[in-house]
Amino acid sequence: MSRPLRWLLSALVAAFLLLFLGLPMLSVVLVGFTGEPVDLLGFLARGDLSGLLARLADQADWRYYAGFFETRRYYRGFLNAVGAAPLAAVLAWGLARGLLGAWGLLVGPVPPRWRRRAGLPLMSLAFGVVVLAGVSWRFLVPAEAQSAHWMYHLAPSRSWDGRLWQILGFSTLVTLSGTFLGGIMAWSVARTAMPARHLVRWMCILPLALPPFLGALAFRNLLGEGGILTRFLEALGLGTPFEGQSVLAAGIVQTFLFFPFVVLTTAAALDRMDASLSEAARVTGAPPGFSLWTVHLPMLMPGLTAGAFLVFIRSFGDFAVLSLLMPIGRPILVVEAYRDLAGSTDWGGASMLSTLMVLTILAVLATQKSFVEGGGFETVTGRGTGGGELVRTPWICRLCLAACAAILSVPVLFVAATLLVSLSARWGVETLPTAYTLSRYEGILSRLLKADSPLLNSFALVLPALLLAVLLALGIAWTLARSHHWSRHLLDFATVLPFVIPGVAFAVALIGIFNGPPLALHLTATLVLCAYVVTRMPFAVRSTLASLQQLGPSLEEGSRTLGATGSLTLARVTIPLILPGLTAGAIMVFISAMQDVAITLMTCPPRWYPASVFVFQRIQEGDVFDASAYGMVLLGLILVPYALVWRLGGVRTGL
Amino acid sequence: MSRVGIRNLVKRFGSTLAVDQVSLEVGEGEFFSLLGASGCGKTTTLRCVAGLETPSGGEILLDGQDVARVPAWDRDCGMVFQNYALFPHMTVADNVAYGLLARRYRRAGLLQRLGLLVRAVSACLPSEDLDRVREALATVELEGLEERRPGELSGGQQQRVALARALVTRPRVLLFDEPLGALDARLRVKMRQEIRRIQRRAGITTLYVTHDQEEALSVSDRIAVMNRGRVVQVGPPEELYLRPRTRFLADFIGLTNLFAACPEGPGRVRLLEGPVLPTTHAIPAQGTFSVAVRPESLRLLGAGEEAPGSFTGRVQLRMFMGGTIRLVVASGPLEWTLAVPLAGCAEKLGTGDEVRVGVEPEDLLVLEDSQ
Repeated sequence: MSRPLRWLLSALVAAFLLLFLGLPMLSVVLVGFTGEPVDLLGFLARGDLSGLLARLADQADWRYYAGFFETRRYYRGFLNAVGAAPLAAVLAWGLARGLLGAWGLLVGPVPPRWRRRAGLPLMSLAFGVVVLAGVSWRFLVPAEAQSAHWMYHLAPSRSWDGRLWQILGFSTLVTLSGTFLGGIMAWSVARTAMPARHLVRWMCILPLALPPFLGALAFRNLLGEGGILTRFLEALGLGTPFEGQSVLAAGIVQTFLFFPFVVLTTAAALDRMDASLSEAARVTGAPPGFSLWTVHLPMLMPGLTAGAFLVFIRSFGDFAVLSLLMPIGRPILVVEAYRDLAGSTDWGGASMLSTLMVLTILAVLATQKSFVEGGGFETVTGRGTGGGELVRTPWICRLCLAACAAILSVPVLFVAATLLVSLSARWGVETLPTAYTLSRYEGILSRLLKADSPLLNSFALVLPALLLAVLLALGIAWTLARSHHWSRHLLDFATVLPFVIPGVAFAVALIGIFNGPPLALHLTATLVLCAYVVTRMPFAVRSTLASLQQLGPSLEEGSRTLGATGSLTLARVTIPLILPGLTAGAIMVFISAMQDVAITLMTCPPRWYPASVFVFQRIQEGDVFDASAYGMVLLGLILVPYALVWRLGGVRTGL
Repeated sequence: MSRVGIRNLVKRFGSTLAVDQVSLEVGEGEFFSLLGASGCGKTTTLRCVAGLETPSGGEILLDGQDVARVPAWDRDCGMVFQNYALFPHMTVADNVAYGLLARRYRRAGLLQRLGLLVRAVSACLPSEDLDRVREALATVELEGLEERRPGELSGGQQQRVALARALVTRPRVLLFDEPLGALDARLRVKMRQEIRRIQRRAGITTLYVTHDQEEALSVSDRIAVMNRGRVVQVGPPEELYLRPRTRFLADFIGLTNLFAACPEGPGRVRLLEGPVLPTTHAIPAQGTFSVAVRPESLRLLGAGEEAPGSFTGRVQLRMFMGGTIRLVVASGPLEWTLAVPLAGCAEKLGTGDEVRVGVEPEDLLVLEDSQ
């Protein structure tokens, strides 16, 4: 490739990333202060930096951030999602690390022993104190003073278990339960010789490929009002166990959809674990209970917490499940941010909440990283022998299989219920439909090529985005792997950031900048397409980068010394060798974009609504039958390519 | 100090027989090596003693007691692994103290166990444990590295930490599984002397697995050479080297001249296509068998010098080895390797010179042809 051409392409990529990622993120921070869009693009196009600064100085103030503490649905939305106790624990951790850092700067080197002792106990203490206080404060405060008490803002519930929920936080609870289930399953598939353990690993595809809005729909079909299981239980005289719209419902759906992230990361860590370590523990005199806590768990902590982090960001930013299943009285951050913009066009509030979401996730990420690095845990290295002999005790194997089957039966039942609803023709008060029909699927098929077909829209939006994302990813991954320029760190960050930004926050950022001239792209298909590219391209970048790094530069150098030009080398050597990684990444881009709801719902013109948004709206309107049929088609479109990526080995990263 | 007894040990992995009827007795305080090529079953035998593998048959006795049903953590062994198996998430001190904490944990009640778990996780060692850890680290000359992580140590230092971890609990038996395999040659020699010195001072019964014959010969009280899951010969290093009973062993240990031979009258053998030589060792009455002579037992004969057995040949190759010169001498179709002292007639010898070589009768070993 000639030098000018390379420069031109680099400039184009940089401009694209700046326009659709850098500027929106900057703008969302600014709008959180100004309260209305800043016309960042206009000022930049005119080169009028002083004008921009004057405008900011004129308009910016802290009132939206101050409003966070004054507006009940804001701070409760935040605490309901994250929880006061985890927040206190993270703050305590940060405090401990900060104090140690200050000690290191002011006094001298920190003894390594302190480093391990300081963080964890302080963290647990803060966590415990907040939980205790949150649960017990209503007993301690006289009834008439309760509504004025400051604890009322943290945990207003009347029942003690309700207060516990509020103190622990929804996403944290989902993360804990998902990590628990995922940990059990990972151990079962990686360390026991239970029958069908390869099948169990494969079955993890199903919850991973199930779009969250379909999970919400399936829950309604299964356990909501008039759901199949609900009808069965009512027929047996057991009453209704779940409300269709409740915290528990949302928690169950998220837990059973997101736990496979933990299975992926933890099973990978277990596979790589060095068998001789656990043997050394045994010979040195440690019974299994002791070595589990002192050797195995600390060694698995990096994998376990990485999986937990993925569950947390999914749960925290998951607009679909939370907006469909959370009851009205339970504000939650991501939904409140959406309501601020879509409902009342409150730019300041929506931007402030979006900034807060991104900051929260970055803080959690930083805590996870420093916890793993400073907490006395060691990342399991790749030279392991596969963890040694598998556990073969029959009753343990049977127990593990039963647990895995029980966990996996939930997503399977989800899909089964949705399929049944989509096929039902007549369904009165009976437990099962009395007649079945394929007419809904026929309807989808006959509408497929009409102008307003949601499926056609999906393809029209996703496929060009896919092409663009793959081309961009190829260039970016190649630059990341081969370049030594300082700017590659920036590029690296730019391709990781979209992973952690909740869709709603990103949509708020995009609308803030493309709402008016000079680039009035809001409510055009172009913006949706570009948003897909920016937010989904990281899949392709990461997976291509992984293959490129394995490849090493020597083959390309070999080709060049044989006289091949740069582009010939790319076409004949590099691309053929990284094709599996690139394909896996491309498929991940495809299925992830097909699932998107938040960004599409907020930025897409109704004429272009894809299948995901179509299903989401049908669910909102309560039309579960059409939604189920479309949902099943969508699931098929996602599941088949997903299984393909799994075979290509592209899901190992857990992203 | 304990005695280790292995009686008719059998271990199968699926259809492959890894250890086949192995019986060994290791005395109190003895340094006993298992020597063999990779895949000969020596590591599996060691792991059966440690309790890391369940034998398919036979008995493992510690001080005369069968430990078949005793789990690894109750056998009171100390083991040094080939890759050291240091816990990467613990400091050196925590690694060494691990066995002490684990023993406390085994003896403790439920509540105390919880306390010990917290101790282990937050790395608060009881002061007496800390003293013993310091003592063990002093034994392996690693004072002052208590707070390092294994990743920050060199290979040799990691090796010493692993040794300290195995020693600190004063185990009944020390087990070494190719402990020096990952070190470079110079360090290997240093560490094996160190291991021997420490073992002798602590007086702990030791079972040492290695594929390196030099290592085994230099440190062991006794060696068992294994091949294909069976013990070929057991004995002190000198005996194995000087009096191998089988062709396999003669070939396996050291450099040797091995030839096929047949009987030629009392006390004399005829090498196939070679000379007739006398031997003091028992000769089978008929058939072919193997004979062996160590290169250093062969002697160059000067003019007029006589030996009970001798032959003439031509020098094919002359290699300077430091203290000795190695000569390859062709005599008919047979090639003999000689190791002759530097000082002497070999100095002037060059390729193509004709030499006369003498063999003492007791140096010509007659071997059983094991498969």
